[in-house]
Amino acid sequence: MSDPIFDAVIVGAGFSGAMIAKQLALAGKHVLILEAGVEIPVNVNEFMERFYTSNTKVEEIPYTPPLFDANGKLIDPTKLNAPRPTVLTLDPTNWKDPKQSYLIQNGPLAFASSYERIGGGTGRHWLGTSLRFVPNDFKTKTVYGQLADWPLGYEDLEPWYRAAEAEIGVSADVAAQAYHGISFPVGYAYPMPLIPPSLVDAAVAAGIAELGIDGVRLTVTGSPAGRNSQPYQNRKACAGNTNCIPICPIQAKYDPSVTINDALATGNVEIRYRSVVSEVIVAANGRITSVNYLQYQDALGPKTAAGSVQATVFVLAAHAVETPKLLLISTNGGRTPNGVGNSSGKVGKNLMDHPLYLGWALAADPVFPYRGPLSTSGIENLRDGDFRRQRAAFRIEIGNEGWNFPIGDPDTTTLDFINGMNDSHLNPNRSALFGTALIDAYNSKLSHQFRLGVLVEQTPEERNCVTVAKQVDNLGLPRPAIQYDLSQYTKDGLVAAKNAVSQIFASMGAAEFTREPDDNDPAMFPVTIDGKDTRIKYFGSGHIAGTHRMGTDKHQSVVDSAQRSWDHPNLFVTGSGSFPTIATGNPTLTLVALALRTADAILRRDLRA
Amino acid sequence: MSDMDNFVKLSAALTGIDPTKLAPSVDPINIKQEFFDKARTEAGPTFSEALTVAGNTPANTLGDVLLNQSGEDLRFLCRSIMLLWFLGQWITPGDLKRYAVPDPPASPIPSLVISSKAYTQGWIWKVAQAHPMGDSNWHFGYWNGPPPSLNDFIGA
Amino acid sequence: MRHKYLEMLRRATVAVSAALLSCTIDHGAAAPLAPQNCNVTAPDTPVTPALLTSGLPCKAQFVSPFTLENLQHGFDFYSWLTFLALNSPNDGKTVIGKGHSVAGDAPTIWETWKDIDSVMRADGSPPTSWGSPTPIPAVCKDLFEPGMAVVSMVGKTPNVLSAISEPFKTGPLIDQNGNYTRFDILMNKTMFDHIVANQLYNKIGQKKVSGVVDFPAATVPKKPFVSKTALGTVGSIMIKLAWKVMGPGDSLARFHTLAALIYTKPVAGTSMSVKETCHKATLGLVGMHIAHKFDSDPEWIWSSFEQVDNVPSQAEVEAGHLNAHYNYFNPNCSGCKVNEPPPRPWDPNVQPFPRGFRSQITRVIPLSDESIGMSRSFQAILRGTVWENYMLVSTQWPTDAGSKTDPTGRPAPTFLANTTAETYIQGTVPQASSNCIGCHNNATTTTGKFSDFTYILENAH
Repeated sequence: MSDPIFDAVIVGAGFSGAMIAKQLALAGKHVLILEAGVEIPVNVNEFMERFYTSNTKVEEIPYTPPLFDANGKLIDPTKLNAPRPTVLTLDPTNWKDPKQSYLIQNGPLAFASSYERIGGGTGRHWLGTSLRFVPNDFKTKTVYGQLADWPLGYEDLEPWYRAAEAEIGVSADVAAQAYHGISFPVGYAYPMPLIPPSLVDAAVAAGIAELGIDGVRLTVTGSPAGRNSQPYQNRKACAGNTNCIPICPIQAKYDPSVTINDALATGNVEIRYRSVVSEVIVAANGRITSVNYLQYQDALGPKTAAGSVQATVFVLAAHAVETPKLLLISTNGGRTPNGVGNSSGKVGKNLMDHPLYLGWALAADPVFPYRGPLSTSGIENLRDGDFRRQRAAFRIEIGNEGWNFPIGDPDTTTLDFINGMNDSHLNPNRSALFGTALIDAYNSKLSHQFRLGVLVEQTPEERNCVTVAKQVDNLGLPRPAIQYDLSQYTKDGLVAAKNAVSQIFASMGAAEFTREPDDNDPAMFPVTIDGKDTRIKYFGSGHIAGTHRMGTDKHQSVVDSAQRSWDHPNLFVTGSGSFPTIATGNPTLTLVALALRTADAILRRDLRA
Repeated sequence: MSDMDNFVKLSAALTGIDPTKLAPSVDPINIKQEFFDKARTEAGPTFSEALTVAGNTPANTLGDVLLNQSGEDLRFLCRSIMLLWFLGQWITPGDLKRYAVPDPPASPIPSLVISSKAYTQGWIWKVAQAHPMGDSNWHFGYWNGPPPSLNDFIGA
Repeated sequence: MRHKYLEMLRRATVAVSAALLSCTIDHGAAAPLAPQNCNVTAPDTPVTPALLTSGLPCKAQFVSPFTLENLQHGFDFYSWLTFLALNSPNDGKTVIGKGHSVAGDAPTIWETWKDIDSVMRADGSPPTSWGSPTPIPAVCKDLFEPGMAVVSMVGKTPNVLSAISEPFKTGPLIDQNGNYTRFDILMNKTMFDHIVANQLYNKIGQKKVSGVVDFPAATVPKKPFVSKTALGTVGSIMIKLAWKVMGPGDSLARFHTLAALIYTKPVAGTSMSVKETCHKATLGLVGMHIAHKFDSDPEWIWSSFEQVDNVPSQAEVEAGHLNAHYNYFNPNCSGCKVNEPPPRPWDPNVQPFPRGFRSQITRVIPLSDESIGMSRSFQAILRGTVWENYMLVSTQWPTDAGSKTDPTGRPAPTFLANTTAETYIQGTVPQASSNCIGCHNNATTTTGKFSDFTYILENAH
């Protein structure tokens, strides 16, 4: 039996797709979600087993398609269906090897973030941080003469932020969040109270009590998070598994599978997994009439079917690399040689991340890391200010997981003191210990470890872009090619971040252990600071944005503020790819707010009852 | 004393963790068996030798005797055993030897998590007064206060 | 045809053995205990009909040496005695299996206990007093007859159908007739009294809790083997029941049954609209969890029982050693996905489940030889009654009770699942797979405070 014409076809079962699907379904609309990856599982046994038994616990590890073959070698993405990038291909030896790196990285610098292609999307491995952007984030061009303005302001998005906070279940304290002009209606309370701060947070707060940077006093603020501080949505309160990335074993951290299942519960949503959309089809009148998709059964197996579905409305929600790539490869037999929805030429351009500066140290006193959520607080004072005329703003995330992120601890330190090595830099004498001496060494070092991660605002630049590579995946679909670099504005922000971190450590009496990257690290840049040549390494934050930016002018943007394509009235291109700038807040809450606003637009206009 | 008794004895001497913690008398998890079996499978003859030394040496000198007075084979096997207990990972004695040099290879040392049970029973987390990442039995809000003492975790 | 014949044979057997047993009913049997009392029974007591009236244990007892095996045996023995005591007829005097219904069935002691909806009331008002009837939903009023239970849950958590459900932990269980399995959570008077006295039944009350939530534990009789009449007091007990709608293919003689009103709560305004309905049904018990708090075991002791026809084990499926009939498995289905919840949407008003879906469930962790053996012994003294059709899955208990470094007390066995209640989370993966104490260790009040291993409190309004 052939498919009906759906009210809406949504490409991607991640945050954006799930949110829009649910809202449309609640309004009685008939929705089909096409998801490239595999089903949301019945339980997390398999995810957790994969996580526990992996010796490299990066964010992608619990999920599929598999990264490694039986011999522990990275699988060639050419052989995989719906392959995804991994942070394991950011080494000098493999970042430009298409047999290892799914993304075809053309440089000059490495794009350092990854994403998932699976039911629930990248949201399966997110940290949970649910910050709102600050009012000036939406108008940096007007206020600071830098970056770009958004086609809407904080006030426009504020009610949608509240809706997003309810959908996700955000725990935070309104009074503490009212900084940099963030405001709330009188009487508003977040769905749940703030997650209690950690001992690491307390140590940082005590240490920076007298510290000012660029004339700004620094304070520690609890982070709003999609993490339960009490039972919510029939999910448990957080038990501090210290594993938010890559997976919360008890689902105290929200992930989009919750909303997908809500959407399915209405009876109005169908979801087809292992279904990779290969082209968006445009009619002569400019309306999108259908999407084509390919299906597979096994990750390494052949294509098993092909299909096409029609709908009144189409929503692309495949995250900010796959969505623009899909638009660009949709050439409609030559009728849309520049791709669909791309009259502006901006599709794929203005690729942004939050380059993350990581500093780590031993606190003067024990702070007992490896306890609690991965992060409970941050330093938000430098997210906005006049300095944005000169250099990128940033926020500082305080980590509760010791030196796990910087050096893979406790494994590294454990090996060092048993085998007389010094990868951790904590064992300069290369002592090989045992018994009580070993216990003392471990406890005294591990209990003092902490790290700070700084999310720096990257400039939108057209030279940073996603294009279509000639390399393909196992379904014959082109892979994304990436060009990526950091502007001086952003680099200056990273330098300021580095200095801020060192000052914080010094103010705390902590001993800094941050190291310089190697000169062949693809994710670093050389810089001279106070006359001294050095190198700064950046990590990816997993925050991908900008590649189908929204705007007021159809020549300068891909979508309007409702994420509606300028070129095709029934096409919505959604997600953090719509961000004109990436600001300094983690993108999820903002992209969810935009998604809910988009769903509302669709229901008011395109699918009005 | 049985082979297992000697294995527990040498494990306690090497790791510094009390033997009643490594091998409780009522033990539904019995991780010691998994580590014993792994070491025996990977390094049979050297492992037997280690057990013999353990049987013949007082506990308070056993660590030093095994690691510093019994030759390289025993030294590196014992280090592998220690890593089983602390991390639930098997790193071969041969690889440990290759990396125990002033200028070790740049690539990470090969390692294998032997099971999800072994990872979650790893002792390094308890020595840090914490818990394995991804496996917490603590209650909401616990991170706001201090952990139990080190001795609570590893002592008699 | 053959089934009916066996049914007749069974009834004849019951009639005969009832006559025989009634002569022996006073032999060595203790007078029934008052509801608040408990006692101890040595774990090596021979399993004879005298045990049918041994009374509720306050504590497990063990034979030495205190190895893992002997401790497990003692706890499993305690579980069986608890099962017998709690499932005894609620007239307080009839012996279990000697009731007036089919195969000696009778309303059980816990059928007078308060259930979760009566205590954690939707308007937050205090529960009615113990023993007084709880108001029933308006839509059920015309159908209600005294003695009926009102059962409303369709998942092990009360609001599995509410706005947002737990996607990877629960889901409905659909029997071979396409009907939803129903669940209920009940508590004894000790637990009830504590909730009422501390105003834990609503959100406002829970906000006022300053110290820890600490339910009363059983007290142990002094010198239990010196004085035969020494009694302890029962601790907090909570039970979770799984019920199957008796339908075609289900014999009343193989299940403890009761007459019930199945109340389907309305779910409006959010994910799906489920109409509020009420209808009569005869329910058969398929699963029973019992948790009892001992003072020696602040992590509680967790006993789990199932009806014997529920499911095959995974090993039995692989070996092809299957029975003709199961409650939740079709031996003749090829291609049925095993241990997966039904496709959404889930609307309990639509039965049989649409498109012929029936749950195809297997037991992942095999029963131990020890628990199978003990079940056989107890089934023998229950022969001819409905209760011989129940078996112990296992008992979970803390091997390091009160541990300072592991709030779960390092339980044995490490994993435990009842196929009716933890259907979809069976396995042996830490944190992810079912384990009574491990999961209940995450239970909190509505304010996030640890709730002493019970999820009852998070349902306050």
